[in-house]
Amino acid sequence: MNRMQRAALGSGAFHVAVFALAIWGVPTLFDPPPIEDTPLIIEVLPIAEITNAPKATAPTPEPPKPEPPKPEPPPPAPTPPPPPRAEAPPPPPEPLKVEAPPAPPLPPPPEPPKVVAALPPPKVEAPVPPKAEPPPSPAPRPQAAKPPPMPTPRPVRKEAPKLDIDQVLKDLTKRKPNEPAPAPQQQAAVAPRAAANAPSNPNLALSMSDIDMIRQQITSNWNPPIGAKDAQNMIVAVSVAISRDGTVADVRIEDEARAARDDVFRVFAESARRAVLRSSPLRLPPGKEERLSSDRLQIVFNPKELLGMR
Amino acid sequence: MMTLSSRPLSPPAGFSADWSMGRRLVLTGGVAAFWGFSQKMAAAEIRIDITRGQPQPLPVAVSTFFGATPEEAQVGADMARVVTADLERSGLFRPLDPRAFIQTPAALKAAPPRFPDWRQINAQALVHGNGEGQRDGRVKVEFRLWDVFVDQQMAGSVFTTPASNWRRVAHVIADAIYKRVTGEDGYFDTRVVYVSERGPQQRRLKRLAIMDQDGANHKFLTTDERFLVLTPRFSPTSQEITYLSYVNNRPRVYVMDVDTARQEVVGDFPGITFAPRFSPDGNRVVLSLSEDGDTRIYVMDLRTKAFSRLTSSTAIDTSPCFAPDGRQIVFNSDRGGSQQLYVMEANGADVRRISFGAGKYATPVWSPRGDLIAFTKITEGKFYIGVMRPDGSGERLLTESFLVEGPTWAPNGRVIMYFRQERTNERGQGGRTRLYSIDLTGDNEREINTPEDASDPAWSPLIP
Repeated sequence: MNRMQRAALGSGAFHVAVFALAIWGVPTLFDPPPIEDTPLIIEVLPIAEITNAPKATAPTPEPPKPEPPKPEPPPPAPTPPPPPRAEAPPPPPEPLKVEAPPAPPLPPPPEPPKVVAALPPPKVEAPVPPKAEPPPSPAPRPQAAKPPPMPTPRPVRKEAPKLDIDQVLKDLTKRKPNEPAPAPQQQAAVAPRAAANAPSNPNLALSMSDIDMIRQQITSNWNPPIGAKDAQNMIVAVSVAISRDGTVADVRIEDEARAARDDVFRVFAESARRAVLRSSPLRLPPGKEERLSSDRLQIVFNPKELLGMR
Repeated sequence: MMTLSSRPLSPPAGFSADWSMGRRLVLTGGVAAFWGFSQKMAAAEIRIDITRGQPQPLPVAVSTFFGATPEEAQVGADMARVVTADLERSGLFRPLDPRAFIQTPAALKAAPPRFPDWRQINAQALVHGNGEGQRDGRVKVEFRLWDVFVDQQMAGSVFTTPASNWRRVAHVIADAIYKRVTGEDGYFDTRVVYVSERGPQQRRLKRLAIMDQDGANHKFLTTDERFLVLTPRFSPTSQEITYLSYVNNRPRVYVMDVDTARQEVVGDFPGITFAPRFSPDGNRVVLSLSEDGDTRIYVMDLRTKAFSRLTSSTAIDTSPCFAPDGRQIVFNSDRGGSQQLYVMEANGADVRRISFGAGKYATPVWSPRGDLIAFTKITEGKFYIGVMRPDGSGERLLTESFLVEGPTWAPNGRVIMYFRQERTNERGQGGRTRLYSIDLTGDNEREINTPEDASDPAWSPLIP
């Protein structure tokens, strides 16, 4: 009896415990573990070789921001040191002495110096129309007789310089007859100008298309001297500082030592620097102005692909 | 040749000649190291690779050279014209129309360039200069080349020279500009010797002629048209040529000084000698000698007259040409059945074939810069001028025609000249034959003006 009582009580308590556990305990026991907040890794790949900048998302029609005028470096020391007297030497500080030996006039050349009293404008081909307005010519240019005809070789096929991007070195075997020469790739770079004071976050990461936008602008201004010897080894890195409005503030050639001793490399380096300067002001991807102007950019120019040597 | 003295011209006050100079003075020791380091760190943040570009001629503004007197002004204008024409013809420059220039030659003489004025007309480089007569009758010519985008002088020189020498000075200036802008030596102060031809195709009269590379100063070197002349070749070191002439129906190899026109026979051999070419040091001539039905390659020392055989096959080995380092010789031979290009050591050892394309290959010429061999290729009834690397790889054909032949390199290894003959009609008429030049890239093919038909050009080295 006593034993039965104890057993019944124990059993009752056990049942209560089991039910209690079933009702309140189990849900917490089997709660799914909290989802860890792991970062999702997404690889950003270039969308295409030619991607235009994201359409300007700044619909706020800002008052037409004063277009930064073409960055014109400080005017060269306006009027140099007081131009000396009437028939003074040219600007160079050092006097242009007639150094040099009055070398023995060897077998004198047949023709004496021509002495004509006129200053004909040299005739040059390939006229390039000056920008919009006619140049305010400060001094009337002497218009004179035509220059004497010169036995200049005449161009045979005065073809426009090839802009064959993939391979600039011509090879007849690779171009079948009737195949049109590859059309010059024109850059359709008409991306709208980003409003410079759109919200810009210095920590905003750059996307591939942001990079691509800048790449395209510089690419279209790079004129590499591709025929030079060992051109394929001329990989030039320049360090560039730009301001928020895209103006190129500074370009430095990183390997200056090599540029100082290697003529061909120097020429490549200068072509790279010129490409950056010609691209100024750069159109910057909207919202990334702060990011791009807070650090120097490293721009690496590599002609291998141009030379068909991938 | 005429004398020419020159010295470099430093930039005017306030301008640095070279962008790498100024900074180096400031950055010394630890400062430089730290600066370099921090640059690297910063630069690593955003990197942009540029692998494409727009190769095109550089827009250059060549201002008329200033002259105070009418005479000096005339020479200044003529010089600017020659410089402009040289640069334009190279295909690497696009001279701008002087009518667009804002700053005048006089203003450029008085003050440094106003760079915004030049950027406004899209110039990337600016050339200006001036000439001044001296009391001794000579002229002093100076020129400067400016980078319009970084406002810096890139080059500048002063020359003192007889007034009649202005054309040469203009070529020298053009060479300096070319070298500074392209990084390669120029080739404007050079001449071309070639075979001038006239008369019916069956009975051609041939004379040697020489001219500046732009066609100026043309003159004939040989006058007796009864003697056939062939294959003139310039010495790489002096103003001498070697060529083949049939005097009294006997073909022999001669050497001639082009300034004095003095000539002499290179040895007297039992067989027929032809296809002569100088060694890079100018002291030897490599040629073919045909004897007993075999044609072999020999080299001869011009001083000692020592003569040695380099090949010994029972085939036709001809058109030998030294590499610029003198260590190897390229030639063509039909020893393998068809005519192909071979390279051997300068002593004749280690002969190996380098051309394997379809068709025949002829007249190989090693580039003065050593990286390529130009050749004539004949396949499927057409002639081509092409280039390949000395190991036979990278063959590229630059131009084709009914007949193109005889490539010769500009001394900088960048431009090739050759001749092209048009087809004759059934009556043997036509057959116009002219010299052409083409850039190594295959662009910028141009005809060279000559008074008569022209073949077999040979380009001189830079005139010393």
